[in-house]
Parts: sequence; C-alpha cells; structure tokens
Amino acid sequence: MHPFTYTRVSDTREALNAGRGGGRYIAGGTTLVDLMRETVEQPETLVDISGLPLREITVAEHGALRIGALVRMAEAAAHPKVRVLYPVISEALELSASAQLRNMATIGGNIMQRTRCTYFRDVTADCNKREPGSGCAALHGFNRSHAILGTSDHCVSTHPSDVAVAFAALEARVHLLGPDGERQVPFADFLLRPGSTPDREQALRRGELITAVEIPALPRPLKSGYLKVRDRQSYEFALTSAAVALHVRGGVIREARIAAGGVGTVPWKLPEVEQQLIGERPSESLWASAAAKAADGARALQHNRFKVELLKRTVERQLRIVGGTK
Amino acid sequence: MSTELPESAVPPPTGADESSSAPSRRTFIATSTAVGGVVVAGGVFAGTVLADPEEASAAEKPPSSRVSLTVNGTRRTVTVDNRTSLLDLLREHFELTGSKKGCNAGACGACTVLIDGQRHNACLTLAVRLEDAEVTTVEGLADGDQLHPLQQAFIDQDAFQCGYCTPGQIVSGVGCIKEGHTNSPEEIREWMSGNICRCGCYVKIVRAVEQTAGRK
Amino acid sequence: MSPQPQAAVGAPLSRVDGRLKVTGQAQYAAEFDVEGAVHAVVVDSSIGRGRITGIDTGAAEAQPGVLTVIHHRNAPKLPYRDNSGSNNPPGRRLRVFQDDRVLFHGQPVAVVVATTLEAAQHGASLVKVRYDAEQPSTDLHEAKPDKPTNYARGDAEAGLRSAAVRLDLTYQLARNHHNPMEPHATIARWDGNKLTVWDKTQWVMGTHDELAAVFDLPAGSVRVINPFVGGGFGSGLRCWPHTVVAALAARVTGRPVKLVLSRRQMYLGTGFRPSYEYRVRLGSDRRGRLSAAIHDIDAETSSYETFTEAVMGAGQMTYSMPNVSQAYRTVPLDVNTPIWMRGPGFASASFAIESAMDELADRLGIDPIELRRRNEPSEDESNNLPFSTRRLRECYTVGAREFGWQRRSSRPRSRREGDLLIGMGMATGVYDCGRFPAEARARLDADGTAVVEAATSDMGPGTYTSQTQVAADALGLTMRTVTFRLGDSLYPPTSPHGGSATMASVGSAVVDACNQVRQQAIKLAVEDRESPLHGVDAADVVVRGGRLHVQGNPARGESYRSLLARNDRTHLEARGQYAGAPSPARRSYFAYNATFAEIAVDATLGLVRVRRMLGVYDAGRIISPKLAESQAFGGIVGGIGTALLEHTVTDHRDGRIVNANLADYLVAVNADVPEVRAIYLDGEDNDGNLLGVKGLGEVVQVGVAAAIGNAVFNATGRRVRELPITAEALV
Repeated sequence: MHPFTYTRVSDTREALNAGRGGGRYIAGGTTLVDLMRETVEQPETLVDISGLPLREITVAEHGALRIGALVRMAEAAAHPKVRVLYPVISEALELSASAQLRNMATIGGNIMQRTRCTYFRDVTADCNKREPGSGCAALHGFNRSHAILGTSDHCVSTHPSDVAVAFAALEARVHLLGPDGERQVPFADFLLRPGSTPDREQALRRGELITAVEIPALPRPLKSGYLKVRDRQSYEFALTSAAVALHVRGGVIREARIAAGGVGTVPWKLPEVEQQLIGERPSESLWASAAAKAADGARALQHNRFKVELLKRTVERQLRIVGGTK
Repeated sequence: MSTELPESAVPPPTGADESSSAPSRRTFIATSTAVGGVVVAGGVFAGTVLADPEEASAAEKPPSSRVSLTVNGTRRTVTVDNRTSLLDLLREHFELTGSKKGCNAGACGACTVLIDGQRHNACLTLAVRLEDAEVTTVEGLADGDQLHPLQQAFIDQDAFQCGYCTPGQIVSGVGCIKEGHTNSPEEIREWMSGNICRCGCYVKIVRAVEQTAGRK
Repeated sequence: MSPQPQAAVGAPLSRVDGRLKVTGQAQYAAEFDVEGAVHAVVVDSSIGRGRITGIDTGAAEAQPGVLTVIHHRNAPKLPYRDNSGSNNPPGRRLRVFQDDRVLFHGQPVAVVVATTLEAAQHGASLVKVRYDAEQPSTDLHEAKPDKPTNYARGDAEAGLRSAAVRLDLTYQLARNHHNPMEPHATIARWDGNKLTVWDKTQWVMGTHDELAAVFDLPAGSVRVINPFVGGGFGSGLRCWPHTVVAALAARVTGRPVKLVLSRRQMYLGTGFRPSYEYRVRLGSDRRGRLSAAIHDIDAETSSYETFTEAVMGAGQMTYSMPNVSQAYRTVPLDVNTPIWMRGPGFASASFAIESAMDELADRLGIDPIELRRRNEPSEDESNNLPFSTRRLRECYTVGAREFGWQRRSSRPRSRREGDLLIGMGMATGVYDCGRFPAEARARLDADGTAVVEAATSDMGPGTYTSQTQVAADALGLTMRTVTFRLGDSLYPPTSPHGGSATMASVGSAVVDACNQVRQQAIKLAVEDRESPLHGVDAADVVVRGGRLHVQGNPARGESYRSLLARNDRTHLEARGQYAGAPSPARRSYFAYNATFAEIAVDATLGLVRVRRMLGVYDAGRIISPKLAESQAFGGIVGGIGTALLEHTVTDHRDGRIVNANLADYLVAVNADVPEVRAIYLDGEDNDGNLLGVKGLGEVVQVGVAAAIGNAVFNATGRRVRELPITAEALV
C-alpha cells in the first residue's frame, strides 16, 4: 500500500474542500482499502467522510425513498420502510457480500464499487481501466465472469454491485454535492459504459460527493424482488441477476421496472423487456416472451457464452417469482 | 474501566534507528544496481507512482496519525502508520493475535471483530479511522476464566478443527446472535457465510450458534 | 502384558486444546513474539518463464523502514545439499535467488525486508524487475507428457475387445488449491550458526532436514517449532521456498525475520492438487461383472520436479476383474510443483472410476450399489494379498438404509420439486492408509502426571486430543493428568503428519512408550517389599486413574505417586518406537467408505445445491469419535468444493493464475452445507499397529465428488465429466 495522508472531515463543506484538493473520499472502505493494498488504487490523501450527516433514510409523502449515501448496506436492508416498499432493494443488499461487509460498506460506496475483473485487480496485467492504453487482458483471457452487454474492445468487465441493479431498475436518482452546488443525475447516466475510456466510471465531477440515492415514487401496489444466480450459495458476486418491480392493477401490468446484473459493464436496464410487459396480463408465456429480449445485443466472449441464455432464464424466473402466474 | 496508556506503550512505526543499525544495507544497495538496455518483456511489477530515490530518505517517516481506541475494554492511544489495518494493529502491535489473517481482502472472515458492537472485517478497516471506537476481539469475549457461552458451545459441539478461523467464527456468531439472525438453521447458515472454515465444520458451527442463541 | 482398561480411547471427548483455540490463545507460526523481528515480503515474478534481466531496487530501498532487498544478484550462494528421503519430488528443487531463471509465474524473484510490515509490503510493490520473457507452457492438454508409469495384469485390450458392454469415458479434473485458512508463514532467527524457525508445516522434521540441507548445517543446529497448524490438507507436507527465503533474509540482515505469504502467494508456491485428464475404458458382461479396465491418466507436474501420487491404486484393487492396464503420465509444465492434497491420488482417481461405474450401472440398468457388490473382490487382486479388513458391503448396507437409498429412482430426471430436480448418487472410496516410522517419549513424574512428546503435528484432526487419549489409557491415567506435546523438532522424530498415518504411526509409538513406562512402574511395585503389590505377577497388575492394582481386586494396590515417592524416583521415562508398515506386506490395508449425496439442481438456471450427504466408513478403530466425526464432515465439505466449486484457473498466455484469491477461487461456505452425517462402522484392524486403527483423514474425501456428480446425473439425466460441475454444463 502506498503511503497516504489522512484527514477526517465533519461537515460537507470541509469534505468538498478536501475533495477539490484531490483528496479521495473513503466511506466504508471495503473496496478502496482492498484495492489500495493491491496498489490498484494509490491515493495520496484519504478524506474520511464517515462522520458526515448522510445516514438518514426518509420517505417523502408521495412515496419517494431517499437513502443517505453513508447508510450502511445492512441498515438500508433492514430498514422497515425499505423492506415494505422496495423488497428488491433489501434483497439485493442482503444477497451481497457478507454480514460483516454489509455492516461496513455504504450505499454511496456500493454504487462506486469497482469491477472484480481479475486483470484489473492484478497490477502486472494489462488493463485499460487501470492504465489507459495498456490493453484489455480479459478480452481474450479468462472472462467467465465478464460482461456480455455494454462492452467495448477496451473493456469487458462487469459492474459488481447488486443494489445498483435494483437502483437501475427503479430509475433511481443520484444526489450529488459539488463545489458548484447540488445536482441530481439519473442512475442510468451515473455509471458510465466503458467505450474508449473505461477509466471513467461515473459521471462525477472533481470533488463531487454522493449525498443520497433517491428512488422515485412508483404506483402502488408494487411487487418487487431480486434474484441472484451464482455458483456458491452465498458470499459471491453474481453470474447473472435480475431486479424486477411490477405494478399490476385490474389483472394488467401497468408498470414494469427491470434490470439485470452480472452481465453488463453497468447495471443493465431492460427497457425492451419492460415494454413487452406493459398492458399485458401475467402469464408463463408472457414471462418467456418478454425475457427472450433480455439478452438482445449481447456479445459473448470465450468463457461467458452461457450467460446469454442464463440471463434470459434469470429474468424469466424472476418475472414469474415477482409477477406470479395467472 | 478504561486506562490511558502512554503513547510509548506501542512503538511508533519508524525506520530510522532500525535501518541504521542494519550493517549490511549499504552493501546491498551497492550490489543491486539494475542492468539497463534489455528488453522489458514482462511488465513492470509495481504501480505507476514510483518514489524518486533522490527525494526519499530512509529517515523519513511514513504518514502516521495518532488514534485513541478501546480494545477489549482497554483504552489505547497509539501513533499508527496510516496504512496499518486494524488487523495488523492488533496482531503486530497489540500482541492480540486471536484475530486471524486469512485472506487480508474481506473474503474469508477470519479477522472478524466487533466494532461498536457490530461485526466487521478488521483487515479492511484502517486503524487510523478508529478514533473513539470500541473494538472487541475474541480475546475480549470471556469473562475471566468464564468462557462466553458461544466459546463453550464451540467446544461442546466440536465446531472447529485447526482452529484458525475459529476466533472469527465465534466473534461473527456473537454478532449474528445479537442481530437476531438465528431463527432457523437456514438463516444461521446464510448469516454465517461470511466466515470460511476450510476444515468444513459448518454443520457444527450452526449447532453451536443455535445452542447459544437458544439460551438467550 | 496386562490388558489395560480403555477409558479415554473411544470416548466422545472434547478437544484438549479447545479452550486455547476458542479464546485466541493458540499460537500459530506467525504469532510468536520473537524479539526484534522484522518483516519480509516476497516479490513474485510477473512472467511465466524466462530470465531476469534487471532488478531496480532503488525506490524500494529508499522507503523509510526498508532494510534491504535480496535477489539473485546479491544473495549469498546457498549450498543446497541433496535432501533425499524428504518429500521433495525427484528433480532439481527451486533454489531461491540463486540464478536468473524464472520457471513459473509468481516465482519468488526478490524479498524486501523492512522494520514494519507496511514498509515491506510497499517496498515489494516498488521493486522493478525486467525480464526476457518466453512463452510458458501451462496447458495439460497441449504439452508433451513424460514416459508413462505402467501397471498391467491379464490382457486388458483383449478383455475389453471381448466384453459384451464397453465404455470409453474421459474425465477432466480441475486443479485444486488446499487453501488452509492459515497462510504459510515462517519466522526465522539465527543465533550464531544455529537456526530456529517457527514454520507452518505438517512436518517439523521435514523443514528441519531441508533447512539443514539448504544451508549445509549439521543436524542439531536447526530447530523447527510449530505447535498449531491452521489447516494444511497437504500443503504443509514439504518445506517450500519461502521458508528458505525467510531464513536467508534473517541471515543477511542479522535480524529475526517474519515472512507471511499473502493469500495470493498461497497459489504460487505451496503446491496444489494437480489437474488430471483421466480416460477409463471399462468392459463388462451384461450382468455387470467387470472383465477389463484400461486407465490412461495424465497429470500436471512442474518443469523442474516430477510430482507423482497414488492415482493408480484405486484402479487396481477397488473392483474385481482379471484384466487391468494403466498408464500414468506426468506432464511437465511451467508451473510450480504440485503436492498431495486430501485423499491424494485416490480422490482424483475415484471421480473417474466411480463416475464410470455409475455410467455402467445406468447402461446396464443395475442399481449402482448392486453393481459394486457384484464386483467386490475377495482379495487384493493387485498383489494377491488378503485384505486386513474390508467391510465395503457393510458400508453399502448401512449407507443405503440410513440414507434412504430405496427412495432413489433409477430413472434419471424423475423427481421434481417445483423448479428443482432432485437426485441421489453414491460412490465408493478407498484409501491406502500410511504407516510410517515414528518415535515418542513418555515421562511419568513423581506427582502422578505424565508428559508425552513426539515431533508430529496437529493440523486440525485433533492429534493433541487423540494422542492424549491413547497415552492416558496406556499409562492408566486420566486425560487431565496427561499432557501431549508436538510440533517441535527437538521431540522424538516422526514421519509427516499426513497420509492418514498419524494415529497408526505416532499412536503406536506413544503406546509403546507409555506401555514401557507403565511396565517399569509395575516392575518397581511388584519388586518393592513395601508395596502392596509386592510379589504379584506383573501381568496381573493394571493401572487405572493413576493407581496400580491387581486386576479384579482394586483394593490391593497403590498410586504412581506413592510408589515413586517411596522409591525416590523423580520420574520414569521411556522412548517408544514404531517401525512402520510390516515389510514385506502380509495384508492389504485400506480404509473404505460409501458416500451418498442428495442434491437439487435448478435445471433452468444450472445451479447444483447439495441437500444432504452421508458417509459410512470402515476406518478401523475410532480413537476419538467426536473428532472423527468432524474430520468426516470436513472431507465431505472438501469434496463438495471439488465437485461444484473449486478450480484454479491459469491464463495460458502468460501462465498467470487468474483467481488466486478466496473471492474468485470458491470454496464451500456455510450456506453450501445443509446436512451432513457420518457413520463409522465399529471394529478394528490390527494389521501392523498397536491400536487397531486404519486412519480416516484422507478416505473421508475420496468418492465425494463422484457421489455428487452421480447425483447430478440422477437428477438431470446429464452426465458431467468435468470438474467442477458449474452452470455452463447444465444450462
């Protein structure tokens, strides 16, 4: 681990000052410390923001849910309102990592997680994300866990977060605070596809701080849930996953919010699948025909071809679990 | 119950005196000059930022900070290298080697400790961040000679073999019971899955947690 | 000799070291507080083969706290004396920092020594190494194999040709890494020319011998200490290069040096279970009587050492058939050298053989257990020796009954629960238990307590506990008054702690030592005019709870304490010995199991989850039932990993292991293991050991992967011949 200076800030103004000066924010630290130890990350200054007052979960009158950036994964998952209003968020969180890590990691940090790509994490390997221009060792290397959607010739790594998949599905907004004030970014625009600049991962400006993630109000009743497919029963990143939220009224699907994980360079929203569902009545055949669209545009690599079919089946299964069959 | 320890209770990380007392160091600098003009085939081992030897001095200390924390009821004030993890602070400086280093990457749970009552991976926790924190390690669970009920349950159920993951399992189990994730064997299994036991004692670990949770 | 009452042996006791382990007081290798110790971190090669052309250590050495960087250009030349008789395989062992050759990706190329761990780690990341890289060869299927080792009886080709039913099946087994939870670690300290190391090892004598050889030191000038081993599963069976690096660094710096491998480095330099390609051709008649088998076995080894293991044994003696031929070929690759891993050889072979038997059963429409019964041999057909004990039929009967085997449908894919397909499978396991020379020392003190010592290890099976049980009964003492010590090369030497040999070998030496001490005491008593036992026939005296008395007449006797006090003896002492397996062998001495698995497959999503497992074992006498059960569970859980999760992946482009961590190399976690049960058949096997044991730590993992694979077939109708069985194969 490279040496670094450490500052602890107690209010956001102080944080922004430190951030503007090039300091690196640290919240739960579960990704950052790990990557610093691998020398993938070499910040010169760590700005400890864990003391900032960003730990509230609030529900607005119209039903929008706002989760403070420093709320721990465990707290968010266990929060009664989250559990009732958005099971998909609770489930995604509780299917992540381990109990210990969920006690440490924060919501803001979780969506800032960096890829688990083995070549990214190994500083002796080529990786455009870590070292722009060095090449992508994963493209023709061992890429079983890699992405089939949103990839480029420069990067094929997946975004590892589970809850970000739920956020993407629910069309969350990321609240940011920067030197120029507050702004909100739609989740779909917050995490960036690699394109030719895989080192740019978020639509963050220098020194900007995530303050909260807001889930917009959705019509009720809303059924939702998260399915995670992995080799091991627990404590593993997803091979594929699906976040599904459905609003069914009068036997007809009125709203659908669907995204997939483990398959995209960013959490992968599935608007075509959503479109297939709107206005239809839940049925086995509907789930199958809608899910058939889930992997449209997929580009498989040598070791992850199975994900194309697995993704469709994951989405289909989760549609059935959430939507039932009538 | 806290006792303020003098800072000198733990030697601050420093390189100055030790390195000057190492007689052979200069010899090695002299003999380890790199040979240039050859194909760089394998890629550079280190990352991109390299310290310039002209600028650095062996007497210079790495960035360090003073931190006061409570470990197993004892207040400690130390100056730590900012890079030092809680796990290394415990193991290398406080001689509390009960917390184990299994992966040093949050992937095994052997280092599990309670921080302010919640289970955390000490390997991913920078010690410098623990100002005023209350840390409980496996060494802090027993009440004198009286084992914590979960420690006793691990013995009764033979919930370990080599014993290396055991402190982390037990501390994690204490956290799991406190959280209330012990309503069924399935729930215990899931909520204890952050602690790998390579000897494969899982079934017995679940029994031990169940036995202890049931007594509460 | 008087028959001693057995109070401790066979009792379900808790571990004697349990309290130390649950309180964090048990000290593992890296945890000894050696005054003045500095930290060493190894720099690994970032190429898979080639030469080092330059090393720039300036940036590392400029770091505060860094004492030195040692590499092949400045390291002292080390004698590296031959160390035959060790666990070093044939070849030329890796000599640390002695030349510029890189033999595999991740080979140690330098070590940074610093006053703090942080400085050493940072320093290691700053060492710049330049290489002249060559293309490494790391693919088992692409490289040229060595000449085969062969076995033949009868005419297998002819037997196969004339068989009514023939199968030709090829199985692929992934490389597995032991991944004990405790990383390998060494603290080394020189006092003049004497070297002391605290080293994670399953064999303190092995580390002792290797360090003496590498540094050309006389025996007695190296001491190896390791009272607790945080798991091994085989990885601690030889002294690895990092231990030499620690000793070298301590030599060079004049400071005690602590070197702990990172989890990643555990994949680079402490061995592994080699990957295999195992082709088996079976011939049988329509009733399932086997007539021939041909085994073609290819396995990884390194380019510099030829590692072999007992992968041929199971194919020679598990089932009765007149014609067998085997060809076992090692394939040298640019990798580090493999080493035995739990159930070595047999676990790998069993996946192929036991899967093939299941395939044959399915082809013939015969129940898999019935098929095995029809081919049960009456002697070991590889050497025509009688079996010492072989109770596989009983394992099958008990296992089938206890597991509910009759509920298994012989037709695959016939049991469904919602999205899940449920299947059952079973497999047979055999293991050739080791018996190696060992010594032990027992001392009975005047206060009536005893200390027994042997330079063995306890990597988790409970050596401390089980040897205390054995010693307590042989001495006629309670568990509480006996202390067993291990893990120090100053104790009487033993062979490696592995191969399921420890109880038969060390246990026999312990019994011998304790019997001698007890006999000395009895002799003292019966010859002592003042003893109540004076004049009694020594053969009629037993000792119980520290009291010698006439058998059948507890009133007539006295305690060790009074006997020794009256005779002014501070202690009685004896050294016991065990010579190893009888030679020539008179019997075929194997442990056996029948392992059963019930699994659920989500056939849509390709996920296999174990529901319950049962192992039934014929492992001779069980000294410590509570601990033996734990070992069985461990073997089963290890087998679940091999079957469904574990796979060390190498990028053949440059020989890099790409999943060298516990997040990407998956071992089973708690949620993967719902229900496990172990049954040990009562009984004993007295072939060549004093305890009636056979050893059980290895056999418990043999056959587990095949039982699971067979259950997957029963559930889905799909036969997966490649381990691990993952979603790719089932989607």
